[in-house]
Amino acid sequence: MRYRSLVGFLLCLCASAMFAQDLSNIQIHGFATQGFLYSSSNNYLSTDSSSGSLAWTDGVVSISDQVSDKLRVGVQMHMYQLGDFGGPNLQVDWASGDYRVNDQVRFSVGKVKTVVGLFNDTQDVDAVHLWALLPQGVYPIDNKSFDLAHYGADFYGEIPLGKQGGTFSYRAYAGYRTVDLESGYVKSLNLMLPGFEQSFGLPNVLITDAPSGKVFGGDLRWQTPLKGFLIGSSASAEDMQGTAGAVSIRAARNLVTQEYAKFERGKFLAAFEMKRMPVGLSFTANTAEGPIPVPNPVDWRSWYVMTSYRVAEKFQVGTYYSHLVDAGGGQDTSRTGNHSKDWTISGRYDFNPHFYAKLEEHFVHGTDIGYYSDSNPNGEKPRSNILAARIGFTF
Amino acid sequence: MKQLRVCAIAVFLILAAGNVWGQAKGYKVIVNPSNPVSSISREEVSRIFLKKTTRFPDGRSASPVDLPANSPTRESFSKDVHGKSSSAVDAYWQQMIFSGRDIPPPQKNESGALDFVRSNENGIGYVSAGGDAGGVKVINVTD
Repeated sequence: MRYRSLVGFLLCLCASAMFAQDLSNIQIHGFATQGFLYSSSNNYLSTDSSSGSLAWTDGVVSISDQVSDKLRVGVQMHMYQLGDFGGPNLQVDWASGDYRVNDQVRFSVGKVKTVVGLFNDTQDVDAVHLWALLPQGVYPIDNKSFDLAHYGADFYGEIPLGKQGGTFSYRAYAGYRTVDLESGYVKSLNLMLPGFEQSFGLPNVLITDAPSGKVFGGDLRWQTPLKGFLIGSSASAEDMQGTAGAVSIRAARNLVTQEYAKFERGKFLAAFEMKRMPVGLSFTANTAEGPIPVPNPVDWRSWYVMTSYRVAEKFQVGTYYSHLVDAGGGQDTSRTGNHSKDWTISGRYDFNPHFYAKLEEHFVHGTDIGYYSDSNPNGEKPRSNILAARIGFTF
Repeated sequence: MKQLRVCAIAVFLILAAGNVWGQAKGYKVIVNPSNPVSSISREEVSRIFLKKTTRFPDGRSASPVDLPANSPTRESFSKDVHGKSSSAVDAYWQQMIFSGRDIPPPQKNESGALDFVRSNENGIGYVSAGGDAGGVKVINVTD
């Protein structure tokens, strides 16, 4: 309810700002994509990918208005469908007002994209990436709706350090986030929760209200004097509470950290990121005999290294290796279900400034992310090759 | 004496070549005639057009206007000022737009850009090297 009021307020703010002045400052942009997944074994990302699946569509419309030199307001609506995730309804991707005190100090208020690492706030903007799928260990597409944005405020800016010092950027934010009911996190939990019905005799253990929690975080990055070389670090403290019938779900406040480096010069790009996401997840079965806690800690540790090269004005190629393990509760990370290793090769062709196509092959070992037991009722094989293709239009 | 003459000719040729290359830019940067700025560094121009700063070096507010993506003048400007192709600059703006971080400067054709700069005392734009610059001031772009 709170966030609906906030979004409503911001939409009114945008509307009033637009009507209050010359409409020539308004910019409307958007994109639409259609994807295809085919996997040699296992169904990936809740799609029927082993038979070939087209259930992967994205669409975005963004309206922004530079109200004055200092104030900009905007809203972006997003529709996405990936297997069981998302749906036909439009969602507010971001809706915010941005006030620039000066070049060093700026504020954003509303639903704001969360800046974490190199790509978090653009992970759903297919048009700007070479990759059809970003490294899933760090940017899991089935959980993007939770990580993408927060309701709250950002305080940020950029400080030039001169020719010898480069540029330093900072950002701090506080707010709260909700877990999309049509996301991978909720789907994973809902697949686990029937176990409570059997173990504790509890009826209707299913998440029907979106869990939510507070988030505080920041990002520091330094564009070094070496042209094109960027390093940075992001951290956030976040928690989450929710219910599923008579079961309470809680993720205690945990610190998520992400370090990164990028070198980009001319046609060449290389990047590295390392992320750690420990989640003190616990369930409490509220039985007639009293509450029974069931801890289920998770400790995702992931990293990737990527490189790409623009072979021609319209053609780009690249490769990355993404590595993820779940070491929560001291479990054995060599087990297939506790890790995911993905070597990917990719190519992108831009037909013109508006149309593009991507084709990439993933060689995946391990099933810790991207696979769901209801999509793979006969179990998951440890290895799978996945073909991902996407075409897109942007304006 | 002969060596001195050869050296002098060589220096002249190098300077002349530099001058020719300097003039070979396919664009010229323009501001409103009321703007006291007469020269600006390439990096400062880049920061203004990428909206990393909203001010000229003297503290005056800056309102950039860009040319359309398919303009050859824009390609020349992007490569010389930003060190990137026009399409790479477009990709940068797509990141900014869809992440809600910023929006690009308004895009107008050359006559629209001239009108914008003429009528806006904080305006800064660019037009083709041989294009009309009536009613605006052309400023030097330095390294």
